Amino acid sequence: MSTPAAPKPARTLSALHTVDLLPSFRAIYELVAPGAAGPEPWRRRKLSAAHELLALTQVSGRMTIQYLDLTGPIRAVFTLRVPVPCRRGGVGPFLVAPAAVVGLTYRQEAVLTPGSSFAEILQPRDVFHPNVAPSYQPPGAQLICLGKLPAGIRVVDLVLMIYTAISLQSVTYSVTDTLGVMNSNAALFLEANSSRIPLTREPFLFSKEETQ
Amino acid sequence: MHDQLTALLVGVGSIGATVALSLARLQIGRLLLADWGRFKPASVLTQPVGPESLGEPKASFIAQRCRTISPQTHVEAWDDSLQTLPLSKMTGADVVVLAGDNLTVAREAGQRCMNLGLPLIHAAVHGETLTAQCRFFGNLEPTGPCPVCLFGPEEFRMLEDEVVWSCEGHQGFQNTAPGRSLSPTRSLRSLCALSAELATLNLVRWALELGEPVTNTMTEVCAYTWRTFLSPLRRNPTCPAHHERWSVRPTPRPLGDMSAAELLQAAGASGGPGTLALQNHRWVERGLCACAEPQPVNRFVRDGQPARARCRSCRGPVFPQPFFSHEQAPSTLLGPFLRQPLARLGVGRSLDILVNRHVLFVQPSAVPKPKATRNPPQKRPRL
Repeated sequence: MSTPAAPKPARTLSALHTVDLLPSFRAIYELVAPGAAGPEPWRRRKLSAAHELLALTQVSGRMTIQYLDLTGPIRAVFTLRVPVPCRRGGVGPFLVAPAAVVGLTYRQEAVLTPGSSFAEILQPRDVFHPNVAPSYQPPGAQLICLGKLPAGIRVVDLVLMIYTAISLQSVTYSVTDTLGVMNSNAALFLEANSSRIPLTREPFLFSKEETQ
Repeated sequence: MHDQLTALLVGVGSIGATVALSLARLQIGRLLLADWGRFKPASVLTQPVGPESLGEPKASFIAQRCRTISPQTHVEAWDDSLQTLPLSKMTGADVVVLAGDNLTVAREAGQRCMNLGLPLIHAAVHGETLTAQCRFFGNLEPTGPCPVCLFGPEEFRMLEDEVVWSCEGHQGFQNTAPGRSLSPTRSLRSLCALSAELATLNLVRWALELGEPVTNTMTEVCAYTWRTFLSPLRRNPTCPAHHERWSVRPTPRPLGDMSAAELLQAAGASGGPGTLALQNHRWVERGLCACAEPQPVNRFVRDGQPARARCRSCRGPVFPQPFFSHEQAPSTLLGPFLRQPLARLGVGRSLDILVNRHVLFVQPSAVPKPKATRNPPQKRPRL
């Protein structure tokens, strides 16, 4: 009698809740889960989001979670392997960093109200991107504009949007779009150098076997 | 009972202004009017004001008219949004009347009244069907219904699109703020007045316990058919609003003199972790300036304001770094600042603070007065 095959890890975002976390990721989940506070529906949502985030980290190999907190809003800091457009002070040479450290806050209000969550690029500090507020102008926080987010958007969907935004796979750089463009210098630069878009065509979830 | 009644009116437009004037004519004890808007040319078509009101702040203008009608009523105006109204100004109210023009204020008012245990009367109109509506949320228990319990997919879509119902008709579209969408109410002055008086009468019935209980009911009058509908309001078990009740307590000393540790202990935290939340402020761990690296701040900072501290290196202003700014400050983050007077941490002249998400500490004068014991709901003879 043959033993049943072990379940294969999910390769799509919609099946992350079925992923069995490896011991290292399970340990993180069990460390943060007891701190999840609030009304029961919100607690369940936070626990589900934490599981999906850790599962995404496990299956993608593209992220490293550095901090996760579920006591109030969901707060996560993760390093994302993604090409990041940079230009010191907005005027230096155009460079591409290999990774970004992102701080993500997902509030309870995001379940009801659009735009209640946000992502901030913590490192590098000289991101040069049309949809990222520049660090060299007050207030200096490198907030990422992801467009009008629907209420109830999942945390893992936000991570995917952050990846496609930073890598210029999904970018708004028309300077007439005052709501979407947060760095007009970067928008003008990309208009004049559109051959640089996107910085990579790699999807967020991929494997070498699938691309060969 | 009327001369002791305190009512808060949220929204002083077509419906709210009419309610305010009716309550002034009832000579109630105290009236607080809250509205951030000003009268526009189209206001004279649906609101109980004339051309002399153009450009005037709605709350202050109607408040003055109320004082003229009833000098013995203490009338106060808040010419700003409900979100900026200190919670301690609501705790002394007996009832809240909501007559706003968007679902965001309905959600906010419903949430505050649920948390504070305040009855909420929501007056509205549906112009297309000439229907006047009045919903009475009793908030006797946190398990009762709230305005968000009644939201369906269309309401959540309108909330997402930040729809504002305007009395300006289709002329108002060019004045719409970016990101908001304007929808004409298609209502008439008469219909708004009908809704306002429905709300006022329900308030009177509740205050004097006249007839059948009005709590957790919706009354609708259709001016096409003149039929009246009375429906019960029920809690939606999947409602995403916070159905939680806060405990309102007085601070033993001025808030600024107390420490976070004292407040946590007074709230029953018993040495365990807790949170502190100051309305319209955030606890800012770190801030950003012209220097390359973030700077420590570690104080409460008002929303939209730079942190007070200046960078030691560049001497420029330090702005709160969003990811390291907390609406609910965990005691674990406060750490060495737990025992410092809150005045040193930016609390300043704040009147209230929420501890552990369910204990609201207010200045002693803002503690709600004991409510008169009401008879349990029972059948009463029809008048």
